[in-house]
Amino acid sequence: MKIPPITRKEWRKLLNGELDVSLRNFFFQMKVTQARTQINNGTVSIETAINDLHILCTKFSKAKNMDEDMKSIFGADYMDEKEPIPVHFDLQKDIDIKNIFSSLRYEREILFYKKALEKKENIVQEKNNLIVTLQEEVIFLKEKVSILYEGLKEIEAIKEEGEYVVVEEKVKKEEKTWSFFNIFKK
Amino acid sequence: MESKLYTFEEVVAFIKQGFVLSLAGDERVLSKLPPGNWIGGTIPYFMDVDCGKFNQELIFVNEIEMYNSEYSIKVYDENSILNIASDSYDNGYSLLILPAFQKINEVYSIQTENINGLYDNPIVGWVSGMDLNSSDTPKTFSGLTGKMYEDKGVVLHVKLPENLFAQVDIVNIFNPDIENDEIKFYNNSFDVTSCMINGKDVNLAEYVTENGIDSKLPLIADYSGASINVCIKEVDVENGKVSFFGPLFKSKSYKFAKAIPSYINEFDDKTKELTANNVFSCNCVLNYLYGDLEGKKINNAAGPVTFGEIAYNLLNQTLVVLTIDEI
Repeated sequence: MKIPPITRKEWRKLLNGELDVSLRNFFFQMKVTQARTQINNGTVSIETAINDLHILCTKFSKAKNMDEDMKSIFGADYMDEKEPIPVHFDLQKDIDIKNIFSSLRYEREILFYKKALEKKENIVQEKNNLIVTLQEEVIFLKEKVSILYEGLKEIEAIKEEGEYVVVEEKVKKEEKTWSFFNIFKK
Repeated sequence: MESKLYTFEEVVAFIKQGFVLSLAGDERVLSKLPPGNWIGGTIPYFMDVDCGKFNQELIFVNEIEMYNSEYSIKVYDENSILNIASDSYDNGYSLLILPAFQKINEVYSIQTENINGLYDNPIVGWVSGMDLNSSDTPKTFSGLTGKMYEDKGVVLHVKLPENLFAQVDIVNIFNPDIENDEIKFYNNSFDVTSCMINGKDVNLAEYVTENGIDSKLPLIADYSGASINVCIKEVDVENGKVSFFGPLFKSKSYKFAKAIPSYINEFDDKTKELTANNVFSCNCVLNYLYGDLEGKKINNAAGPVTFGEIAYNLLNQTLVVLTIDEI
């Protein structure tokens, strides 16, 4: 069974309580409860919690009632849906120094996925459904990095002398991150 | 090997043949077993394959199938028990036995949610106990050394091949009565004096007494759809304190359960989906006693009748089942 990609907004809604569904799989019930408590306590970020939950749901995707739970969260036809890639920031239209801070967030996400990918490397090689899920995440992240990269280059071009150095350093960092994704190029 | 009660001699033979086993029985028989690949805990109450039984001579055996894979037996104290998930394999499960009424039990149950990687693999197991009409004390055993413990937990970590995965499920015959008051607690604790009932500060012992609440009914919290019970151990009106068999959490809201007319009928109804190939199962001694389950049969749920059930968290009055399935 395929688990919907991590980019689906329902994961966030499930953990922030916006989506209040009564789950049926015991592992899922307990894990979601723990994640909500930890997010409320401030001991875990919602991004980390979503990532952990997605990895474990993928691992236990064939467990009893997981299919029903996915349907209750993502809709009855969740298996057939092609999830569009959401774009949170349109840097082409909204070039501003503040986007550098957005890129920092992306960097953190990228590093997190990289760590998760490395950990699960052996499993990925043998489980097609996991490969599909993770590849979708990689494609999504590549898209995000690509947008950021282009945006930052534009920032670089328009910024004044004093800010230029900061921006240049950020672009160099983005290039380092980008080299990681080249590994996944087909 | 079928999970059921066996004679002492049969169990000795299993150990000598090198089977990996989880054992439950009276202290006097478990302490005479030879060293081997087994863990154990004390209890004389069982749900055998044919019916519920009290027996101090037979031993309940769960053979742990190895699938040509690995396992490890570890002993934990109150300081190390929170490392349990870190010691598990990448894919597998951990079978835990804790002794009742000990600090390790309290530490594990209150701090479970802080365990790193708690949900990476199923953690299942039970809390050992004793004949309630005796002065015995709960014990655990590591068969590797043959040592018996009063204050330590024993764990069998099992690795599964990549084509298999373990999953844990529960059967709770109770439901919260939605008409009942909502109760919240100020601390994470086994013992309660004051609590918040419908937004007002109330002494729980007085509330239980004045409202004629049946102390055999558990408090229930909702865990994203799972009803999780916490059972009353004692209502001490004189000192205004209620003690519980499990911890109450300040982050949760609780309601007392609806009364049920027949425990066995509820189990019959709610265990229909259970299959006979369970790796492990256990049920609560409170269900056994309050539901008068001695001599009555619960289908496909043979196992020790325990002083607490573990399905990641410490549970009360709940049937726990571990199964292994193909990915």
